[in-house]
Amino acid sequence: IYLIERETARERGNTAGEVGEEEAGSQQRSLMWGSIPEGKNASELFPAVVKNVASKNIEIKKLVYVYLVRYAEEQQDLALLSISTFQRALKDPNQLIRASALRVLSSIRVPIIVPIMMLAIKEASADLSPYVRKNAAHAIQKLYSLDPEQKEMLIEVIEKLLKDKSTLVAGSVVMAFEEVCPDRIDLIHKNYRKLCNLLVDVEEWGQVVIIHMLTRYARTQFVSPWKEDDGLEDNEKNFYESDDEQKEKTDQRKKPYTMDPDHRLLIRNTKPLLQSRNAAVVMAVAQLYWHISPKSEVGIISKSLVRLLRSNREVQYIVLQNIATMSIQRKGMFEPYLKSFYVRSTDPTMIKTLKLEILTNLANEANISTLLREFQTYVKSQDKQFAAATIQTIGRCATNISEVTDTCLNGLVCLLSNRDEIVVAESVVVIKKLLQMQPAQHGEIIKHMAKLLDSITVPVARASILWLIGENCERVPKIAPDVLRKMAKSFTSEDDLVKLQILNLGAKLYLTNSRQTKLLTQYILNLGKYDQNYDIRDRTRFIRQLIVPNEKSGALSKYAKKIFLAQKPAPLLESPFKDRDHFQLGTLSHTLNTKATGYLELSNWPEVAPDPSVRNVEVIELAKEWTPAGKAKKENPAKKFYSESEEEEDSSDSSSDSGEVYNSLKKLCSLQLICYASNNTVRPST
Amino acid sequence: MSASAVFILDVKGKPLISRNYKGDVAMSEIEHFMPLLMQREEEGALAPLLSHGRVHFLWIKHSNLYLVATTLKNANASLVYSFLYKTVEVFSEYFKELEEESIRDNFVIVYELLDELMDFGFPQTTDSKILQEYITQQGNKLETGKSRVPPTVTNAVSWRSEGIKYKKNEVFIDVIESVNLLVNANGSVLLSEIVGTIKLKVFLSGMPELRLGLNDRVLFELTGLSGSKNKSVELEDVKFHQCVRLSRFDNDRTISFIPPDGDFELMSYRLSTQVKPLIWIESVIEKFSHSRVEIMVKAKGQFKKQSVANGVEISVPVPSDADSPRFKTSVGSAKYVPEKNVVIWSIKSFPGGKEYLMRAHFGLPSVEKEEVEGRPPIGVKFEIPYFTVSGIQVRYMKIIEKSGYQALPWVRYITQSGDYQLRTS
Repeated sequence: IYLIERETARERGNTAGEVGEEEAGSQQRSLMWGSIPEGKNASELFPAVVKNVASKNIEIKKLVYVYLVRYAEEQQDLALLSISTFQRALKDPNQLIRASALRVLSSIRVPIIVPIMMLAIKEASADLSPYVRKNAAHAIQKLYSLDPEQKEMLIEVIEKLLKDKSTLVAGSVVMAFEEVCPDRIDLIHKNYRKLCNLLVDVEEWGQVVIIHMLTRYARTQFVSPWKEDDGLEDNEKNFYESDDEQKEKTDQRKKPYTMDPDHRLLIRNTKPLLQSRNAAVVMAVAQLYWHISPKSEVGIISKSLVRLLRSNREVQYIVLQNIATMSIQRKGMFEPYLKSFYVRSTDPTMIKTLKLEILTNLANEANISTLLREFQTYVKSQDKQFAAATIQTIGRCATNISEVTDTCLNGLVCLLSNRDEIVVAESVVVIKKLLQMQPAQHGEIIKHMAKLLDSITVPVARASILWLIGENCERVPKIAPDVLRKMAKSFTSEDDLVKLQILNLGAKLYLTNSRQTKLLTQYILNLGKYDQNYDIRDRTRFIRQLIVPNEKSGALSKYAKKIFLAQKPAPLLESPFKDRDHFQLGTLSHTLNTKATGYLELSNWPEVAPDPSVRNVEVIELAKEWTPAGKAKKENPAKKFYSESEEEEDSSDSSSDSGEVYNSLKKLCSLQLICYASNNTVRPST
Repeated sequence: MSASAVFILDVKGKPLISRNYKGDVAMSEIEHFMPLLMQREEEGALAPLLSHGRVHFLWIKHSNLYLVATTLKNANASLVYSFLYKTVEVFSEYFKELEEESIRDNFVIVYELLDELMDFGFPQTTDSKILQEYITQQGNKLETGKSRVPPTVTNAVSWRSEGIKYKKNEVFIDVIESVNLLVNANGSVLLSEIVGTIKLKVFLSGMPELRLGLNDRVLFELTGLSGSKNKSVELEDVKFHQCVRLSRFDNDRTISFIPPDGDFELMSYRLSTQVKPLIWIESVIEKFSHSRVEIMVKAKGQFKKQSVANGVEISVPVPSDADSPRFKTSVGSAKYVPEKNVVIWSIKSFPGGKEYLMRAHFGLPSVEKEEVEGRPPIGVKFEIPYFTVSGIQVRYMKIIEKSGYQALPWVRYITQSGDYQLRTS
């Protein structure tokens, strides 16, 4: 990288240095301006630059910091020279300098200074300024990646910082928690309610991290809210299960379920964030709802997700993928927004195919006719890849919704006379699959396709047609041998894929109609025997042994007919998003559909909820939390708002919407709290 | 959780600048990015996420640059993309335009910014207003010795710094609605929606507390104002700038906030209520193979007579091998743009209720090309000032500051075309 950078910089070369010099004026700065972009000072200028770390000028100091972080690894010994300056800076009265000193110190990846870093982090975590504490939280992760052996000590610091009540710190410390000790869920208990309440005011990137962590937390600590309305879900399975069975099931399950108030708190407090301008936050809330809220409430996220479709295309890509996964399980959620997924000619191909995927998932008896009309427009699209994908989609709709299978099939047959080859080829492949699923009489279509064989050149389509004819050779007794004759002529010039199917066709015809095709098949087998491709030679040898009876052939050839003309199971046209829902939505793993390193499993709901009282905090502390000290007294409306709105919200909200139940539950909970405190069973706070 | 390193590459995939945040991905991995991208592009399976072994590249393209984040771990994909776009936004604010040249000219600032935007893979301060306070432009003469430290980063209100002063206290409110429309070939509306944004330009001293009142239906119902004479609008999925108190809005639909200084987008909303398409297009495109194409387009303004649409541009697709254009228009002028294969008919002002006509004639070569062309849709661009389709109105803007000054709010409404497409048969 340095090399490349040097090259690019050298093009502008000296001019950059000169300009920098003129402008900067002072000696030190010219050093900085000129050197960093050129990247060549890695060795020779290091000592000179490091000296400047003690500079009083904050601008220069910052540049030296940037420089240090970049080159320290190569110049470990020299970097150590600067350490003492940082240690001094850590005690600077200015919070910003303290913070950046800590930041740079922790960014220098030199193993010798681990103890110094550890000390600095410990000190900073008790700093008065929340900004410095935030940086301490970041430093934790850095130190952990440098030296994992410090884990135990770091966890202590994390535990301490988790108790912090500043919104600035919350996001960073949760981030550190996720990196260092994601399995220590017990550290979260006491801070759970605080985090929920702070959430709205945390900066947006922090919100994302916290929401993801809380999702995992909720999955381990609360019982599943899905039981109560499992009936809903079962309705979708109705086709497979008899009603009686189902009733029995739901009866069994109908235990009284009440949601843990803390569970409710989380769901309620994240709801306003659906209105955030940051796509990542909205996505995070959406996945939280998807994974932990009762099924009846998930619906509210669909609107926000649909809104995200108007943002940048990469974001669209991620959102559409997630919607695709959701729409498989719960069609109803996105059905009202069907039209939002209509493809626009300006969409890039990847977006188009995802939208198609979703449209397919949403298709049902009611809307299929509208959808098919829409698909017709797509097939005419200039984007051939997209047109082909549309045809696949039509095929899938046809299999999923039995009412329209015939309509779709007719439509596809019409497409066979399309002028574009790719469209025709794709239609052939899809028709093949459809016909396979319906072993009814479709002689006409097969005849039509046999005619196509003269004109179409795409190998997959040719192979499909041949296979289809072979499979139905008894239904088209006149055409099949003729097709074989033609193919025998062009055998040598065909694609490997087609050759294999010719061999298959020959074998099947030999078995059913050996009088007419015996010689033809033998001719083809001879050609196959000397083919360049070993797969084809292999297949030829196999088929010959099987169908041509001779003294060496064993018992198998008796069953040749059974082997070749067995009833084949129809292929299942399935969504590629079918099994993706076991990954937490919105994560990289979900997008890749494989487990990425460091993926944290979402655990299943526990059968019995763990003791909810672990989340209780001593009453006194609870009160403090809602009116942070020092802020409440100030008359400045700006600051006041954040501290008191929580209170307002808590009291007013509960009276308004569905909060009544919650309110009483909460009262109960706080009663329990007080009992708890008086029983002296509370764990002493560390 | 997030990116290990961020690269900025030029069009050819050569790294211009990079910042390694975590050091767990070798910096040379980026060399695999471009070949991978090319390969996927050829296969036609381009995706914003590419993987090489264990390393994943999440990338976006901006003008002639690629911004790539690499990660080994299970990152939050939407967070990374949001961050990359945020980075583009910040850089664009600094350099006006983000492109190769501006990166080369501003290496130092880019380094500083990358350093501030993210720490160890976790996004930090990403508000360009705040960043501008302490990462000053190279062009600006840096006042030497004066170590001013911006307090904003550490504030609870991170988007506004204290001690702002203006002689005249004013707020400008722009309500901009854009209409997205999709009509299919036989004239039925497939999709019609309004995406509105409210933009503010704030020149206010001190720490003012603002409250914005809209004719929001839910609010009217809450306060019992929903009489017959008050027209109200039902806002759907509203999204706010971070300064708006979401919890407050959730409770009683009050939009209250302490604004950042200068320009910003306060909120955006969406309405999917059916409205009559503002400009309706009827078109007949007749293609006589081997000889000519005849196009007839009728445009009708379906909005109030008092309003006028400005800068109307109707682009009608023509076959790519068309030649010798001839036009006749009842108003405005038509122009053939061969590189886009469209005729653009522009009308400077288009009053509501009027109907205009354009005819175009093209020759076609006698030799036809082989591939069949699809039919791209007709697109329309326009802008209607002093008018909102949804009927949204700013009822009041209350400005409260502890010094008690008087401030003036100014409101302006504009409706414009968004993604406005009419498919042709």
